[in-house]
Amino acid sequence: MMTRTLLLKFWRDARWLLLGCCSVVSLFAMLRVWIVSQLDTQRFRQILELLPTDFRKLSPVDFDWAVSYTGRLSFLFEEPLVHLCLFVWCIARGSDAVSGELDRGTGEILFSQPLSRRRYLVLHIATTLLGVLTISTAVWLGQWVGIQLFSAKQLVYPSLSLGAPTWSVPLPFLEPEERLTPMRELANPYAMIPAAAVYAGLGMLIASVATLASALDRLRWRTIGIATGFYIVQAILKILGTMVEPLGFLEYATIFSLFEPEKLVAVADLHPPATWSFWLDASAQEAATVGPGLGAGGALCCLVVLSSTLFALAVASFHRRDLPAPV
Amino acid sequence: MSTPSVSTPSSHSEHPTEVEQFVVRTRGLSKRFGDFTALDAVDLDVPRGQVLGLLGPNGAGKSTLIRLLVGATQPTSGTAAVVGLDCWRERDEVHRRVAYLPGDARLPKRMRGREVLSFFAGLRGQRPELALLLAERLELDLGRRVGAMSTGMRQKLALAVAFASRCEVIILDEPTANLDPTVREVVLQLVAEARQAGATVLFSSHVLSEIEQGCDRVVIVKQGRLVLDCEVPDILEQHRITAGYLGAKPEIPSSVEVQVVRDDAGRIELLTRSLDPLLGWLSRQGWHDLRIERVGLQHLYAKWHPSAARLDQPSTLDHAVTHSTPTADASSPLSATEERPS
Repeated sequence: MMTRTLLLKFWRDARWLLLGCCSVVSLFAMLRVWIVSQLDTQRFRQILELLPTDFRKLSPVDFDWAVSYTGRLSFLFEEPLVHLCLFVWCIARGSDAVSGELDRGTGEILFSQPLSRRRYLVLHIATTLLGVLTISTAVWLGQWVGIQLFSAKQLVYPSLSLGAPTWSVPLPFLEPEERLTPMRELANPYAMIPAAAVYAGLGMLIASVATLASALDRLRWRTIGIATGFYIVQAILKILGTMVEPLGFLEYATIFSLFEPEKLVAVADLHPPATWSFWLDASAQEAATVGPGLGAGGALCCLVVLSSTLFALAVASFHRRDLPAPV
Repeated sequence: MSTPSVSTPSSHSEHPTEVEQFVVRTRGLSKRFGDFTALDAVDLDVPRGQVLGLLGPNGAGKSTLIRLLVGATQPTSGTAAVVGLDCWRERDEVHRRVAYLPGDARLPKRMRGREVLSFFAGLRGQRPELALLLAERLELDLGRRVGAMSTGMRQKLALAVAFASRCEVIILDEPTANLDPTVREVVLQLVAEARQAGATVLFSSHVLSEIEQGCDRVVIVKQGRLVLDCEVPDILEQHRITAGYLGAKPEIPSSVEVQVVRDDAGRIELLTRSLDPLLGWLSRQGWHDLRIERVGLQHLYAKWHPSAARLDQPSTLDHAVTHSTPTADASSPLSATEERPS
């Protein structure tokens, strides 16, 4: 009864935020499929070729694959809005756990109830993680629905048939005609699952940082500041490590090295047997035209182990700490 | 409908001797925050079924003591136990036995009154019926969100939560703050009912008359130390007699326990533990301007916290106490356990 009561409270506290985040990400994912469907791959390639070559360094995947429909759809998980929604959920819920209750003054009466601090925090973490999974699923589902609903405009040159049904020669000197092809024939939504999984893993890690800060702190705004600062510093390290060659080592110091959704989608799309591998072997790298590194399994493992460690630290710290009197 | 009353479960007996005797026990209990000593080597025993009043101005250490008892903070040194359970190491079990009302009880603002009662009852694995009845008795509007309630209403809601818990120990940190006089009476009544049901109550307050009215025993806290510990009925029996006399000073019979506080210029001031044995003697003397007053808690409190006592006046209105200097009363035989005021 105690667990149910507490879970019900967490659900009441978080339901509108969760609903908002899920609605935004799933609608955005759908809308993004429609946008991708409106731009032919060839035209998109022409646009990207105008960009400076340094820009390509930021992409962990081969550019030829990146301009394909699946490739372009995989960048959904790097969209600022998609990150923002996950970030807001993780920081809001993580920071609320302890310092939120203490800051509001409600912790004084809540934590004197017959409810162990460990149990309270574990249940809080469980609801946060459930939310992370729900948001990740909402992103993937939004994209899946978009792929099922929309059709891509493709420019197809008239061709000359050579008798047999499959024998034909395109005639590029003629005016191309626009043809609608369902997106489900052009993109593989199931190849996006590893990306959605590491997106959830990233959320788990951000939530664990926020929860640990919350378990140690008494002011919610400071907890939010610490978790946001962590996120920003990690993003800066990633950019510096990628863009500035002498600072390449920084890539090992950022959690964003574990978050390369396009690479995982490329592997799942081009070399399915390696989809959940821990480390990408040579055959997977060659088939997916990606560099060495962790596969979806490895990235997920690292994210889960890191965040579990931080969650465990949070529970231990909260269990042992003095609760400050409300101000 | 009958008035809902407070009920408590029967006592547990894991540690029969100690628990039966003292529900709350601290030994050398201290708490320091950096260089600041909030509580300094406090020894306190509270027997089962007693209502103990904690008195002291803000910052004296009352809330620190209470928060140590509910396991919110860890003692720097010493031990605190409730029903034989260590308040820090076994705090989950302590929380099952203790209902705690913080000084400034803040409840989840988005919940409605009814939801708050169900939530806290649910955390104790109880149904909210008793809490709902208490809320009705406290005239609460349970359909309103906590955020839209006045401070007094929120306090009443928190009181309903605490008293509905049916715990054997109830700790109330300034429970009547922000309440109107009518509801204060109800609170004191709830405390009395809890005591009748066998609960032990710790009750901190700034209002001396409440302590006099509702407590069996009072301790005064000053700068983290318990400076006075006495039974409330004893205090209430004490009287101050001031009178003028003509000629020789009347001889005080040795059979009565009385302390001469002042004797100069034909006026005498006496303190007595009980008035009855003195009445015959008093009637036989040729006094003029005889004045007999009940001493009350105000007098004792003023010795330790003179400035605070002047600020916290409620109980002085009906007692008309003359403040005396602490040194004049330091050797008073009338208090049970007392440190010398500094």
